[in-house]
Amino acid sequence: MKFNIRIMPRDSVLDAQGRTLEKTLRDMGYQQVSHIQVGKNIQVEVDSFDESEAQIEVRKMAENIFHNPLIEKFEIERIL
Amino acid sequence: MSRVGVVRFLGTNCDRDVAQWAQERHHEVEFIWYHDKQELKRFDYVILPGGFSFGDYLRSGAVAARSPIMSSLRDYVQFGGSVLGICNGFQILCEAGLLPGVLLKNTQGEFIDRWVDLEMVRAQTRFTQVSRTLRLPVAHGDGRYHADDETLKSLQDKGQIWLRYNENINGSVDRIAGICSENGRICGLMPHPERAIYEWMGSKDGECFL
Repeated sequence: MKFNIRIMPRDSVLDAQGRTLEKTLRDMGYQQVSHIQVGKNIQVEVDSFDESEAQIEVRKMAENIFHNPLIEKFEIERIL
Repeated sequence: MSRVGVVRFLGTNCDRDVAQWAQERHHEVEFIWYHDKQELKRFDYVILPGGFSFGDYLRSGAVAARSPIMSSLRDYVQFGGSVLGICNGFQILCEAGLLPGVLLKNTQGEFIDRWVDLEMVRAQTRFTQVSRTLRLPVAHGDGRYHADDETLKSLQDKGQIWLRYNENINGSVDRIAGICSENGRICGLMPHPERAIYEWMGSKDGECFL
């Protein structure tokens, strides 16, 4: 089973990467862009036949290392 | 003579500077490999030096914070051990939850490598005794200290703000350059005191530590 974990910065935290990209895009002529946020996507394959069990495991991984709750939020999606 | 443990992670690069700094104080230094879970009670204190542990993958300090030596360090701290985290070491302590908050990319999105003037907000810690202004070098891309309002207030109220930048160079909340645990035994800072130990380096304010 394969899962996607999408990690995004919390709105309350200044996203320096997003802001830099926004500035660069404007320099490139994309005047209409705003609110760019840069996150991460992690794919994990779990050897399991039980989806809910695997989901729980992936959630634990996300909580324990993939994301830092002070600054990020995450979503899990099964992709395979 | 104090006995010091200096932890080496993959990508640590200030280990020898830190060792020399401690040796100048006639402290005996032993390097510790991050993968070797072990009893750390033989040390008077442990240093997590700067660098780019695990290539800063995922988040600065995140991978190192979950390596085997960190569970030994948790036990050590629980038994009254003292830990100093410098730069990446500070990031590791925060990621491990041994200090509150987190260090994010500098507001300007650039790596900063320069000298800074600092105010020592709290003098009495395991690693400092004297209150004074300091001049130390910084070299970091992820040095913006961040904590939510509640955590920040608690840090202020409990006297856990250790060092402040005179000028906010990276967007840190409350100009925080270093914090410590309430008892002053776990300390973390972004500047590098080990890079300022002789006058010819530009400052010897690193002398105020250890």
